[in-house]
Amino acid sequence: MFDSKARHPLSPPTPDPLPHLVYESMWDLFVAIGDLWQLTDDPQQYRLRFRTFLENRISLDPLYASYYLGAATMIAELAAQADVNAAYVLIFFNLNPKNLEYSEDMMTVIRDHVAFEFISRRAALGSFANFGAKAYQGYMAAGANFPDQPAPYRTAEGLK
Amino acid sequence: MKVDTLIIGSGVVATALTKRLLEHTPHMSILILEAGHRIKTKDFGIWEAFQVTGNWPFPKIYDLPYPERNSAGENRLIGESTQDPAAFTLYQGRALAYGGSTNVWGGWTFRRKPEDFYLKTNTGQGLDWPFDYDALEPYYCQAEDYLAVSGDSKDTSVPRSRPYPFHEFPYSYVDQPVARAMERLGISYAHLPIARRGVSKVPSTHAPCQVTGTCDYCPFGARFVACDYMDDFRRWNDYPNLDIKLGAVVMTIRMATKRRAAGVVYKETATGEMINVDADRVIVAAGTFESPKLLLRSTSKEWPDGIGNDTDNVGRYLITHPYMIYAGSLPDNPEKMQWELNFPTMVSRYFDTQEEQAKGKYVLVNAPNIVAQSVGQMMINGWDHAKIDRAITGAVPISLHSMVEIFGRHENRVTNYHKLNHLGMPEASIYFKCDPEAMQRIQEIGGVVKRIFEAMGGTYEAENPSVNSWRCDHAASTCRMSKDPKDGVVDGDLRIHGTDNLYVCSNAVYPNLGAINPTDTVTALAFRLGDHLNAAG
Repeated sequence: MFDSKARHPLSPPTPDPLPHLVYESMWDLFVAIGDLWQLTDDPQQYRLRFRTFLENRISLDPLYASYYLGAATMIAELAAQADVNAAYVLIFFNLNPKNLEYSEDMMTVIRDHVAFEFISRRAALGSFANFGAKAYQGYMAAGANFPDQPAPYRTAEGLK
Repeated sequence: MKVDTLIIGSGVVATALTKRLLEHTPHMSILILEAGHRIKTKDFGIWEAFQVTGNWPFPKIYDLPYPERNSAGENRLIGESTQDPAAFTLYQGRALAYGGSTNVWGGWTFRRKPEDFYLKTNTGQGLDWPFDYDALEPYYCQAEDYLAVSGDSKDTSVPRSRPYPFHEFPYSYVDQPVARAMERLGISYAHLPIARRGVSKVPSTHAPCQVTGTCDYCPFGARFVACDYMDDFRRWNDYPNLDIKLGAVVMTIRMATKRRAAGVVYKETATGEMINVDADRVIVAAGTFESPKLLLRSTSKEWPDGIGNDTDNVGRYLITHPYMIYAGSLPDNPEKMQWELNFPTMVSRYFDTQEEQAKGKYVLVNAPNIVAQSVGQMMINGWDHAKIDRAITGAVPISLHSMVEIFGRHENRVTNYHKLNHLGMPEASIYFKCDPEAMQRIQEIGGVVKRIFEAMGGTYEAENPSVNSWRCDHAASTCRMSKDPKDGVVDGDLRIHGTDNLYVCSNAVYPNLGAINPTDTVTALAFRLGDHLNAAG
């Protein structure tokens, strides 16, 4: 169904895997989105697609490996000052009640290229449904428009 | 190099025409010359990047904006049209790439109505088409099969002899309040026919739409894109004499005699080399702007003002659709209507009738993007769950989109500009000034929309509606069809008046647009031209 992957000229055909600790840190950040927004969808169902997403982002733009490494490093540094939840609250909500020290420049990079993209991806993988819709920009599990089957989105009822 | 058929442009016309010609004569030699390059479609990584950033991944396939004080830009708006608030731009409209503007089209696939072929007879404006709806109807069926249209075959507002290849997408939840309001006001509505592949018993190499909500870059190719179909056409068939050259800017058409084209000269942009190609026939399928520009710069002693331009019609009568977004709001949204699709499912052609033709027919389309921001964007804004809930269930913006027919004027035109754009193509000079009557019509439509919004329990927020864009991807009429050579550029077979083997097939040949998107019709015209050429041998 899909063509072979596009990749940046500097990316190898098979991308180098992220260091395990970096990957786990990114996964924890992704999972934290559900905790912070009280989302009821189980993030474990997204784990494989999340890994693919990281690989694809790095393959298209090798700088992303550095973004993810930088994010993991920053989260570890922030957590060392207080706790990891305080780090997540600072990254996602820009709230800093514990007066954590950090680089504004680096935080901007982490938010733009890591945290906000994780939010967009998480919402599209299924979290959007917490807010009442059946389909969403980027949601791919709804299915097609089969004859005589329910539509893969909410439909109007009883129209002429 | 010598070929049987040379096609300039690689959009939907080129793919449909090539298919028709080669299925009839498999060993015919066909060369397609495309100025642009290939972009990578159906790539999952690119799709993911588009989904999370919202950034269209291939901005270089667009024209640049017009020049500004600190930006060189591309193309020129000239004369008093530069002062017109309704001035339109090529920027972010058409796509200059393999597959043409289908790389970025919305896929709305309306048929013209029978009265659209008789504008002159019915209104005194413009020209009638040289043939009527019935002559094109079988080709509409073929076009809808080719474009993989999902539509309501029971909709009899436009006559049809065959069902759509795929059944209609059901009305979405956001259609409900608009439809109820229209019912109360006696305004009819229908399913919007859309080029999104569905599911049927007919085998296909193409995937069905899975409503990913990211139609601008479909990860499956479920929305028709001409280059995907051309690639598949070549991959799954054996046509040894079909060739496509990208990065090939056709500079001029060479004439052997006044009546016969000999071939073209194109510039290979990678090397700058000028290359001659001889052809038994030449099809100009380069869109509404590039087709007339090519004819105008193809001068010779036989055609001193450009091919087909002895009557000064090439490049003139430029028209397009003003596209309006009429904004309003609902006081609350308890059912949590949201943006679930990236294409509309409902249209009203109630005002797209012969009775409205003289003032300008129009359509109303219910946009799917209710609620100003996506859930993801609200989360990025730092809103918590409760605030997002309040934003969704509270007052929400609504909008109805509209396109209205405007009429061709001799002074509105496109010509060549002496500079080259980023692809090495001659830039365009455009003169376009909108009739005051059209602007008045846009205000009138706003009055209708206001009644609909009020019937929904909402408010209308555009007391002075303006044109959101002059859709250059709908532009037309610059090489219009005519029975009489003095009135137009091509005849009813799309052959340039006064020539034997030179054709134009694009929106450029439309004598008028009607109120609806042009792609279904131009695809039908391509199949019709294919049958004509096959019969001619």
